[in-house]
Amino acid sequence: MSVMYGADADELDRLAAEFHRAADELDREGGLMTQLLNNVSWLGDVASRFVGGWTGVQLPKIGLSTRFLREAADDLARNAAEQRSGSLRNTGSLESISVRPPVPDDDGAWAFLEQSLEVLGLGRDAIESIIHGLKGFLGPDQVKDLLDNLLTPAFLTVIKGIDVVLDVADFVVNMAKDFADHAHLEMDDRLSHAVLDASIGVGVSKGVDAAITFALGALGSVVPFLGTGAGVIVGKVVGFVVGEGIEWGLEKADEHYDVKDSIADRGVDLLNDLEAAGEMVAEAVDTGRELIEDGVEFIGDVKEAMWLF
Amino acid sequence: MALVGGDAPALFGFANELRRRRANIEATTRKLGSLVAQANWVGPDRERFLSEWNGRHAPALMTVVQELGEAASQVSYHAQQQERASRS
Repeated sequence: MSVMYGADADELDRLAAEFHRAADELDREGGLMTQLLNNVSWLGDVASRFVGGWTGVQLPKIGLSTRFLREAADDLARNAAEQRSGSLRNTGSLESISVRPPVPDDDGAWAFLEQSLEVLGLGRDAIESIIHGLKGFLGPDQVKDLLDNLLTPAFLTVIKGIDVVLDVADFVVNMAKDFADHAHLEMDDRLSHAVLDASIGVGVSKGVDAAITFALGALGSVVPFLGTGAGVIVGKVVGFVVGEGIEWGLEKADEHYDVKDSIADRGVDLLNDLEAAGEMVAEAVDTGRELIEDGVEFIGDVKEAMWLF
Repeated sequence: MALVGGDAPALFGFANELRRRRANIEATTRKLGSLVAQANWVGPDRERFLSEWNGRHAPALMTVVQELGEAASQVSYHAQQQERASRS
């Protein structure tokens, strides 16, 4: 089965140009430093050793690095050209992310999902477990919705890059379920909700630090406006609430009160507040503090209620 | 006994130039690595490129950075010796 890979060819070309510029600059620097050394009045054994080291060791190393940078630039430019020509590799078709073929809205969506999960490098067991889990509650059009909006190549890369999820299959199924359950929300809110809910799940199984790492990476990937200090605050809020949740038995409480869902709801409210505030960090801090206070109170209520069981 | 001598202010100036260029090369290396890591690029070509960059190219540049720092320290040290000798 082929696997979908790709890149933005223009972006790779821009990167190649950056690498070429860096190579030219390093070339210039090497020449300038040699010129400066030649112009310094410096005699004696120390000077001779230094000049010998410079011309025999340092300068050749600078030359080698310059060559490496040019090789890297050529490599990037070649990749960009391959993206444009749509040439085939033994690994499958090369398609640009920006022109990823439309996800089929019939049963083909499941095959498409399977291909996308292969990009994550998941084993057959995990992939089959995900497909089986999702088929329990998703129709083909909902799979398409999931692939078009949440499980994009960029987001899959984030999941792959964050090595904090014990069981990727469970994680993807739970996140997809939350995404499907909140179809009534605006798309940004749906994405945030699924990520926050998943972050809390990560926190329960892997700890607060893992949840914060996940929340920051994943939120930054799906909600671009969070690529600021606001993301850090959201991460701290998630971490705090998850920490409290773990301490008071969030998993058990969740069975009765759907605590994760409620916390994710509040997280989405916070994100909207941040957006409306034009990412003003001061306001985010206030909102974050309020959420933390709410979280403490809420978890306290849960704790109290749990004594009744 | 070999001839020993140098223009201390010029040597200090050269050491500073080495440090300045060292900082430029270090910043450029980090920037390039970060640009590639953030690029909208998925698949084995990206993994191969990053492995080559992180395993070979970036370390080569960082060696240059480190050696420029050491060279600057050597030159500064020697300039201080010159100043001390000229004062005594």
